[in-house]
Amino acid sequence: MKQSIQGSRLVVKNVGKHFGDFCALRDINLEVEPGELVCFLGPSGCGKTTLLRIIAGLETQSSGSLYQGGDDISLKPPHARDFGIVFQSYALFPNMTVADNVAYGLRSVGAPKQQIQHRVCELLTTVGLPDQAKKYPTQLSGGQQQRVALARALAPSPGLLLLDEPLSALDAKVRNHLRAEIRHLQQQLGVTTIMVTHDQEEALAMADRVVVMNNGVIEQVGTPVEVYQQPASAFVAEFIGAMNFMDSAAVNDRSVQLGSRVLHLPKPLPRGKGVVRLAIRPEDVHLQPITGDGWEAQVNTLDYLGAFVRTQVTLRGCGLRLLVDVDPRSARELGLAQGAWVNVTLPSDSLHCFAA
Amino acid sequence: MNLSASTAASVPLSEKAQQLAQRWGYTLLLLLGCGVLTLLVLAPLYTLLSKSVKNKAGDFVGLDNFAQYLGSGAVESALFNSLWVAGLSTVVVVLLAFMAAWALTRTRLPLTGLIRGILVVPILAPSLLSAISLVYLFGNQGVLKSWLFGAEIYGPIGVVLGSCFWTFPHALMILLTAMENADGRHYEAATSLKASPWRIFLTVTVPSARYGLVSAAFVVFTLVITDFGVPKVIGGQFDVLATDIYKQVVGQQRFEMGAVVSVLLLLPALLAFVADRYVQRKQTASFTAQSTPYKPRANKARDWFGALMLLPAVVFILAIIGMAIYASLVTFWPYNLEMSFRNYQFDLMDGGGWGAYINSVQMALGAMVFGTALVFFNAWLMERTPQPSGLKGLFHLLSLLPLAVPGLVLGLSYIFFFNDPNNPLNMIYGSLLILILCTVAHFYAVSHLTAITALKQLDREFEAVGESLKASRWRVLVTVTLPLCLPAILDVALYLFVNAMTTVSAVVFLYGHDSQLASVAVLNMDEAGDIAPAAAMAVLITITCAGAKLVQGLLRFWLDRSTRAWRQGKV
Amino acid sequence: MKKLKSALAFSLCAAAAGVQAQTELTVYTALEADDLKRYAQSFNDDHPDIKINWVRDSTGIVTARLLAEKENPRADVVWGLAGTSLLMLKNEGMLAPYAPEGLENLSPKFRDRDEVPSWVGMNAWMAAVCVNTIEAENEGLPMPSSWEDLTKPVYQGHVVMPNPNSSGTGFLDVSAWLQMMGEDEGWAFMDGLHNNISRYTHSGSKPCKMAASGETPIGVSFAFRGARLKDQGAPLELVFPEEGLGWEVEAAGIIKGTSKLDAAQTLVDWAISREAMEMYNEGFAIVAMPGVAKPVKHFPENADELIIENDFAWAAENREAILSKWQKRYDTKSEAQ
Repeated sequence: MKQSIQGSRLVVKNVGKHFGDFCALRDINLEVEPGELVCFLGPSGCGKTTLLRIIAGLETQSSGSLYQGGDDISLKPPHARDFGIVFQSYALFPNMTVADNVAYGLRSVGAPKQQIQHRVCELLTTVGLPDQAKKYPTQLSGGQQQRVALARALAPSPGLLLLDEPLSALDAKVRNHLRAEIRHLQQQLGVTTIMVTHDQEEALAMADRVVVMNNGVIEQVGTPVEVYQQPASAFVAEFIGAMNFMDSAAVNDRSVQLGSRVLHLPKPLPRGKGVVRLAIRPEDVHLQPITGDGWEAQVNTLDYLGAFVRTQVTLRGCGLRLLVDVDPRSARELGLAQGAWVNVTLPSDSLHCFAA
Repeated sequence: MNLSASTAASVPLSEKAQQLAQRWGYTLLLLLGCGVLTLLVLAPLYTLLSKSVKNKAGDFVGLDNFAQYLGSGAVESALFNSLWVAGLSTVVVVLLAFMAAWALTRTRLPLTGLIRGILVVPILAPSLLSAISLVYLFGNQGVLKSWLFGAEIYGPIGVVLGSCFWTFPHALMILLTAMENADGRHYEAATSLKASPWRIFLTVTVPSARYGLVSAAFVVFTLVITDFGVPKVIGGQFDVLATDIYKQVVGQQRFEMGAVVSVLLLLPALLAFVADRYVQRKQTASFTAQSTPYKPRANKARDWFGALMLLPAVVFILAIIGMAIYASLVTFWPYNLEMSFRNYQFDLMDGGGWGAYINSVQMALGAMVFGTALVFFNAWLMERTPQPSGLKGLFHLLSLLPLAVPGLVLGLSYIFFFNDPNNPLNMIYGSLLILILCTVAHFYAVSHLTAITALKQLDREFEAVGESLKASRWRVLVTVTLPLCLPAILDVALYLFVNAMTTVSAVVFLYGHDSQLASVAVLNMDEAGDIAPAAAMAVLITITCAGAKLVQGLLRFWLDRSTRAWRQGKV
Repeated sequence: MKKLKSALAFSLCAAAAGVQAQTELTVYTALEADDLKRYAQSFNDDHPDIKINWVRDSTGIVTARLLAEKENPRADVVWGLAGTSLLMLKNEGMLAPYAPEGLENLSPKFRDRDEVPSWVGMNAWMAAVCVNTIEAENEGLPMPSSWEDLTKPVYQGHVVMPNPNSSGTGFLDVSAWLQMMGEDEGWAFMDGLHNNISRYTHSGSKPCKMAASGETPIGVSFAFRGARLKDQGAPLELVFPEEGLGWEVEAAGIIKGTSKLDAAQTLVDWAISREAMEMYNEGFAIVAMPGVAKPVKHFPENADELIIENDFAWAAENREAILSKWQKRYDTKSEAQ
């Protein structure tokens, strides 16, 4: 597309939302940079959709304010704000052709006919549906409908694009394909984008930054790498990716005791004493051939997942079960099999520590 | 970015006012809608129902009238009769209507247009036609008298049969609206899970029609329990609450006692209302752009089964109508069965003749245009614009209230309210306009339910999308909502037209010397024993309504054809 | 608004004056629909300057409507409504007393007892029993000749009568029995009759209509309806029980506060004229002016000897008590079966 969109900066300040006694959002603060793609990620009921609707003006916040491109939009009705939106249901107008759907927003503002035609053509080409203009939404596949909805939202060149679970109604293959396509389009256009999703894989694959939400609060904001590698809370650690959790006792502020072994931590503990939850991702656990003086574990199960093997082992002594991901070649070399014995290492720089 | 609080305060005041207006504009409009319904229903009713706590002289007497009525000994049987007759009719009608709606929407039977036409005939005919037919079919001289095994048609059997006949199209209309837009993917999913047809029916079809079923049951129950026409004509001395009102008001002119019974009659209707609200809360849009419209696959066995499901309703309705037509042709039932068209010489008709007929048509057209616009606009405000939930509930209650009010009570109420010398609107009393208003009020509830059902089936996010595309709700209304709801709008228009043509109970108190109505003339001629001209006028009304139905059918056909592409998906 | 209204009224008046200076009277009535044209025509032969705008319905509906409109009456005149109804209107203070020309010619039974009467009678509307000859023969029923006959076991399940709580005709019968036979015997008679009743109807003409179409062999109703149905070819025999017949006066009166008092009085004057009486006589055997009536087809010749001395005041006074007693005895009893 030749015409590029000037993405706008969005600031959410101290936003809260109550439905009667129920607190849906509590003191949300967030800044989204121009051209950035931010994902709201969390389990259902965490408040991510409510936050999106508040940004769109479809719900009114109970407290706090919103700024877009420096303007206070806190009280503006949706049509006075500058955004395009794609819903989970797409909400395409079934009585209009694809072209009319895409042109809808342009006609609202009274754009000249020729310009509309040109823009519709351009957008349909961009989303890969140049020859579907005359069809009706029900005549299209789910993925095609999704692209039309995207084209319709982008047609008026909004500064902000809001996507509400846009891919959840599609099958896996189409979803993966569209994921890349949307990301590509978004980067090409430079439109500031917020996407709501409950699919962590989708969030990690697409987002510049991920906003992990739970129970109406933001648990962590960070790049996909940050939220994956340095989860700020046990919730984030557990929600994103797989994680082994182990209860252990703090020895001092740099080491904890797990079973009979003392493990050193990469960072000092926030509190010196007591029980802490130790966590490590399956791929960070190292397995070695059994040597006799290492930490021994027995293999319980093996699942071949294509690119890697996920195995569950039980540590001798403390009976703790751990998930371990191993690449297939190492698995072969180690002779991994049900009932086999291996040595386990928990590298100290991969350990995470959370309050119990 | 560091934005100070002063930025928020620097938003110009006028802009804020504008925003407020935008946020509250729709609320104000719906409040206005509430106001209109208050004027058309609540305020008139209050003038009559408030008499239930007053004596004849107008002094406040508390609950004395209630005590007197409850102590008269008649109420237990009337209440019990009302409840079980309404309950039984509801079960029968909803079952028959659901069977018919299923066959019409889930099979590939031919001639569905014709079948639909037959199934709505009861709504096109004045209630008297069915009364005549039932007597001619099952009365002492009836051709099918033996079918009742010695029981009498005069009494509960007649009341249930008559009630089922005239309420059937109401239930069918609601169920068809609820079942017409089915999501084919649910069926595909169920089929792929190896569900048997019966299990698919129970787990997909029934749940998706759940809201329609409850609404239909609610409507039928309330219609039957408030109707005095059928029990009066064919019920003999079988007492129900509604005929008690007739006895008190028309037999003895005791308005305060009539008001007492009316108030009691509101209670079961209110219960039904609460139940309806409870189920309706859970209804969500089931048909969106991403849905695949359900298209039944070829299946001979299922089609035959569908035909079987349609059979009871079709046969029942054809028998009644056929008998009525036959009755209008015979010379003197049952002693001179010579057939002739003599009874169809309309110029010999009394009771208003063509003038009354023209009044009726004018009134029906007025009620149709004004009513459809009012109903749909209000339903749209309630369903598709941001409204405080309390206001929505209030409006819904007001909309359904007329259903619980017997026409007789509504008509009398209109006298008390609109004829009051202090009411600035009293100049419309006795005019065609008051007949139009009363008719729209009388038939508001079912029209409202139809409109709401259709609006609920639209994607919830249309307006949100529209707003994001800088289109006001008004533009979305005109360009999306109205086109999508056109079939339902046509249904509502027809419903109002035919009911205005055939209604009697409320307008009988309101017509003036120059606004006599054909439907009232039919009743009066029958009362005078002139069954032949009564039947002729009734047939004329039925033909007119059938004509309206035909026009509506053609419009729908044209609509279906021109919108097939987007309604039915891949062609 | 007021300005607009008066302007409208003015222009309407002007328009009317341009054609003909005609007074329009709104007349509420329960007369037969096909009689209306005839009555208005006869009246207009004498008074072409007064136009009658009829509002017609059944007795109960018209009465309820008049009473409901009490605060702001719309009718100018009531012409052709049951005397009982006019008595109610009088008690509500809704009638303007007026002594029409020729009042002295009316039988005293056929006028309000006040010196200046609130209503004046037109004709009598009398009870009768409609018997379907074909069905009676099929069932082997003898032709009844008295009220007492109707309590005989042979008629069990073959008699239909109007419910007095719903129908003026029904009340007329009950009130006549109580007056003729005395309270105790009257109720005893009704107990006997109740055993033979197959059902009570809500409309007064319905029992006769049912008899005409063979739905019941015997219907207790009123003579006028029976005569009409017989004319239409119904196999009916009208029986006028020998003990005596209940009857009701059909009457006319002026609504208080009418703005067209002159025209209203002209109409009521005419309504009790000899000419009008002859007109009523076409359908009714007994009219308010003695000596006018000629025998009417299907009616007995001695009709005025058959009707009882009806005390309307007593009937009106005791109406509520009678109806309530009736309901307790028969309405609830019939339901409890």
